[in-house]
Amino acid sequence: MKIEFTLNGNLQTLDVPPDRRVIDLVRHNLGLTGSKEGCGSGECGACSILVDGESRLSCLMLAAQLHGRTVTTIEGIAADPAQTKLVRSFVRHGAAQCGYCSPGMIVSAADLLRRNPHPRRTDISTAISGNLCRCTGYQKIVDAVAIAADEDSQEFSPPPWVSAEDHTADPKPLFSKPSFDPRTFGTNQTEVLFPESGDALLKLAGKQTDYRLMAGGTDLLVWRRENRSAPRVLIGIERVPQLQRISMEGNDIVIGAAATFQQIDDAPLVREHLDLLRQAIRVLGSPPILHMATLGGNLCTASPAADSLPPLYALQAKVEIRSLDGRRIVPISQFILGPRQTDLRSGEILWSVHVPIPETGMRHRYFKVGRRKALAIAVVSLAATWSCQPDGALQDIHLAWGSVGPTVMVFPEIEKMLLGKPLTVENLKSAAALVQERVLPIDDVRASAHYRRLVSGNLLLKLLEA
Amino acid sequence: MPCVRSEASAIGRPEIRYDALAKVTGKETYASDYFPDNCLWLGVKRSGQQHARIRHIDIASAAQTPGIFKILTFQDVKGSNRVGIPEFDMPVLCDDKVRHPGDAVALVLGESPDAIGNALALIQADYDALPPIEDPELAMRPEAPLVHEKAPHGNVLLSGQIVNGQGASALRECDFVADGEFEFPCQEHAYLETECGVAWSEAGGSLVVVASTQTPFRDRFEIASSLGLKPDQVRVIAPQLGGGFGGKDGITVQALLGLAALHSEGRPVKLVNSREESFISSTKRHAVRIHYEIGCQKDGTLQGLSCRLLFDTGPYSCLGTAVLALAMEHAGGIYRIPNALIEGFLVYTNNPIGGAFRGFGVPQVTAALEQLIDELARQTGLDPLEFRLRNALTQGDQNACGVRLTESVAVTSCLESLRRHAFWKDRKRWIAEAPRFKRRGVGLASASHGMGYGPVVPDHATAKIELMPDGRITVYVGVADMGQGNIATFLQIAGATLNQRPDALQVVLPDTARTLPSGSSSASRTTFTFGNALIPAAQMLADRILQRALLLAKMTLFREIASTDLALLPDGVCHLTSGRLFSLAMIAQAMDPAERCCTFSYTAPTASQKAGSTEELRKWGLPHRIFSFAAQLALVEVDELTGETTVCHFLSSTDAGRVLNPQTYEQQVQGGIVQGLGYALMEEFKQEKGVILTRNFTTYLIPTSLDSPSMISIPVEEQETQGPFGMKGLGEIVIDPVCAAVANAIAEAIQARIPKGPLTPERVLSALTSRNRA
Repeated sequence: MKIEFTLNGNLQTLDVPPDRRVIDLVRHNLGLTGSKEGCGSGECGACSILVDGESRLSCLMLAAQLHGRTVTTIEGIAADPAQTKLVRSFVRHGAAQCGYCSPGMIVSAADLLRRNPHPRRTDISTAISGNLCRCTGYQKIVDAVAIAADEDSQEFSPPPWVSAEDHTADPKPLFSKPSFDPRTFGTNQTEVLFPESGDALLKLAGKQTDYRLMAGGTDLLVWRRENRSAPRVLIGIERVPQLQRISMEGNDIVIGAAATFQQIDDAPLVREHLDLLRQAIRVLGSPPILHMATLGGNLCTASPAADSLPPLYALQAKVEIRSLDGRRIVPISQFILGPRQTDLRSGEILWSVHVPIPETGMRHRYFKVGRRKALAIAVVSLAATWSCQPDGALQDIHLAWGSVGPTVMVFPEIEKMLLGKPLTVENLKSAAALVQERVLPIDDVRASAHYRRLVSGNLLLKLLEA
Repeated sequence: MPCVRSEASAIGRPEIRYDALAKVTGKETYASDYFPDNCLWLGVKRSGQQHARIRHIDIASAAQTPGIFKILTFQDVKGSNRVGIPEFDMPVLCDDKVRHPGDAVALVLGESPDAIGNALALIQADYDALPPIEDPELAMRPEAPLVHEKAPHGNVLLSGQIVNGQGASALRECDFVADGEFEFPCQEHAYLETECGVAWSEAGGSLVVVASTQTPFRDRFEIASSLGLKPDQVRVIAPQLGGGFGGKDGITVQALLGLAALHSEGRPVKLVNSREESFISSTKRHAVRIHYEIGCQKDGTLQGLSCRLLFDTGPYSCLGTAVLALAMEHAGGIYRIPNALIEGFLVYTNNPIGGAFRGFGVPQVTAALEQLIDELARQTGLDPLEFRLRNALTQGDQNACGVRLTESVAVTSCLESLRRHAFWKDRKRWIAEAPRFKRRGVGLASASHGMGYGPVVPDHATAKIELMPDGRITVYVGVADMGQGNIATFLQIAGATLNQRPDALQVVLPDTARTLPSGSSSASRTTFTFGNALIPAAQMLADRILQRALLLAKMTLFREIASTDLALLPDGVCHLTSGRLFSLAMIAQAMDPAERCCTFSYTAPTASQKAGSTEELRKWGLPHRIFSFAAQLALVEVDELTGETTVCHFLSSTDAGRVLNPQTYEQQVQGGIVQGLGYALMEEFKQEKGVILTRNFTTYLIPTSLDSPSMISIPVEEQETQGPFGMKGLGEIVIDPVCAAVANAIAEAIQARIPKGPLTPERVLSALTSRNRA
């Protein structure tokens, strides 16, 4: 497949298997070894690059996705005078030890400073939360970014540094970068199609028999790696503009299935009305994941641990499904049937999510319990919306739990039990006991059912902290 | 004596690391960044079996797969087919048995990783399953199936005792006794760069291996003996590593690379482990079961210690013997304990391989001992810091092994630093201010760490330094840099000794053909030992430069000149009276190449004392002579509802002698703290029936930036006179007490102790719930 994209300021035209991973394209075909592969499953951030200015994980991208885009690798950032102060700051303030994570850190920092030129330390920590480092303990990296944000851009003429390259004074060169290595990676097993309109998408889905849909790819490419599986056809939805739209329809906010979590988080409508969803987005994944992953993808993967789902249940969202035969709207609780199981039939596309605007005066909280503070699959989660009367009695409440059953769990009878009473430790503890009886958690590598059961009830008490 | 003026010594300044720019801009070339032309990719078929005899390995159909060049098995290995110093118990490619799922049974050479993936799936091996040994206690029983049939002591690879004074009987005389049983799991190194490298053969049958390795010179011997070559036929090059922490201390992929290069018909070969493969095949921190009993008098004076340490080394030793010996040596921590019985067992099992990992056994014993110290302190009514101060070693004291500490000991100053800090002074108020549903605790722990290899294995380095014709100075470093910045420190040392600026210096990274043997990058020894070789070598070069400059000056200026009239300045030698500068280039050109090059060999001092111990422990390192120390404070907040622990602040006061570079010093402290926090709180390696469940970063969690606390480092700079500019080892002491400090903090917060690590939210909540019920 022929792809054309801008790389570090220069136009590239390549003929590559469309299913080749971008990290392989960058390192092996283009000889840009600054980007590293630390894990291959989107967890470590060492492969980070900028695509259209946003940080992305190149180990979870396919070559076909680059067509028409602007790509910047660490090599491009390092050569960019506008990024001098960032590079200088890392060098000066001891932000690199073994250095393997450093290019990825620079990419994440560059992405942050573009969006937020005056970040607080917590913003910086969040910005690099998807970049694992085993050497530094992160503090000096945060220091370096904070200092860079404060400094003016200046020419950085490094002193003539001692160069490690000097040691390769051998007759046989140790290093040679092939300009294009056609042999490696991606054996053209998968056809990748990117329709550019809603109609074209529906037609493809209606016509093809053996295909998988791809939204952001953050789940699909991990699945592909774990199963060593190559679908015959991938239909990507990322180039259908109407699927990225976020708009109002009646009393509902309509979020297109291909809208990335970053786009959703940035949308004025979401900022004004759907703080609960934003709270979930904040703990859903690292910044590059948010730039790639979509709400539609999250819904179709239908993991009970997905952070976007409990809020959608608590907000009583519906999903719109389209096919060549028409459209239908389904409450989310009927769309998701189990882990990786949805009501989507052959030829159907999840089109958008409809979220009714919550009543004014509702309070919202999303609680997530993980085994660490970032990049963690939820072990138990709770989305809550509620409002109280002036006398403190609960007027309305919606609760939805994640990771304690095959799907998100809701208990209307428990909600009803709480209505009309104040939110007290005692009342919540009684409700908690009922929740603990009714959830259906499992033992898995992350936690035991016993722990999940206990915590699912305990989380109710956090409503008092809110 | 020729005059070397050192205007402003770089020592003690936060000089920028020489490698910082290349690393930050992505230009540093790591082992997997080498792309030789026409290279073949390698893939390893791993057994997937915990314990089995190999009946047959069928590579026929796999070898026919498109894109496959060749597939090798043990039959293609012409040497001993064994690596692992000194036991040589680990096969390059398994021949008779497989002993864990990561064992290599075949090596595939192919044109692309995809082709290799297809071939690997087609390799069929027939096994006769053997009962797997998963419980190290059961492994020690005489009737247990043997992991290595020919091992002299069954599954017990090493056992021994250290006895001091009255041994365990002294505990009966103690006023207060605390005891406990602890279990700590494996820890994955999780370096960002996996095991990898390239290799090729040269004319005449010699090999070149470029690998991410902490041990290039040792690798040479192991590659040669396992593959049937002579050591001088093997060249090993160690670029900057993307992390090591002990996991690359020894053979990982190097022998496989060498083997492939011998069979690739002249083509270079490349092997890069995937992250999953790294989890499955690499060594881990030893999982342990530890039983401890300690006792003291009413006034808090420690009197007795009895402990039993059971270390699970998995199927291969991988320095497990040295790990056990070091753990035993440090079982008494920083304390004077006149009576002790320390028993240790190192056991073969079919669990993941236990090997070298920063701390090398000391984090495990510290985590147990320091928790019981807190318990004893509580019984005596002394606060934990006061209790430790009462018993802390000073120079000249005998430690719990009965060995007298002859070199610098400043742990008391470390503890005093903590005592003076607001975090300790205000701890009760901080704890009382915990928000609703949260509980706070402040935990203290301290540790020591013996530097180097001990009395038998020589801790040795040879530095080579050369004045180049263009006037620059090349330092030939024989010891690898795995990110700790030792090479940057060497340049700083050379620069300070020769009074030259950083840009005048260049480095040759470890290369068995060009640098000189300097031991492993491990044991907190590299800056000390190589530094002590480099300083005399650099001084020797400085002397020669000045001597030659004196001749040049006399002949050029044609006057009487005393050596005291000359000063070695940046860029050249200055005749102080006239101000004339003789450039280093000019001086170099007036020297024969042999004169421009200086080498110096240094061997670190060893302890001549013997501990009252099993004789064999001595060769594994008991006792050491120079120790570093640390005292640390963890401030934690536990969520009562979920068991989640937040480490709010962490303080480390470290005695590693003089600080050569405050920035690299802090880098080590901060990195060690966070790696220790992962071990303490979240890194849970899980396996079931030999299948590793945590085989990627999704399921095995290491700390992210959001898990990292605010960290403060307080160095205690008491000079270690034996060390270069007064320093001693730092890399490991910083991680040793972390788990213990966190455990003590959580114990205070929830008023309960958890005997099994890591202290995950689930374990903490369970302990809290049991406590509430009780």
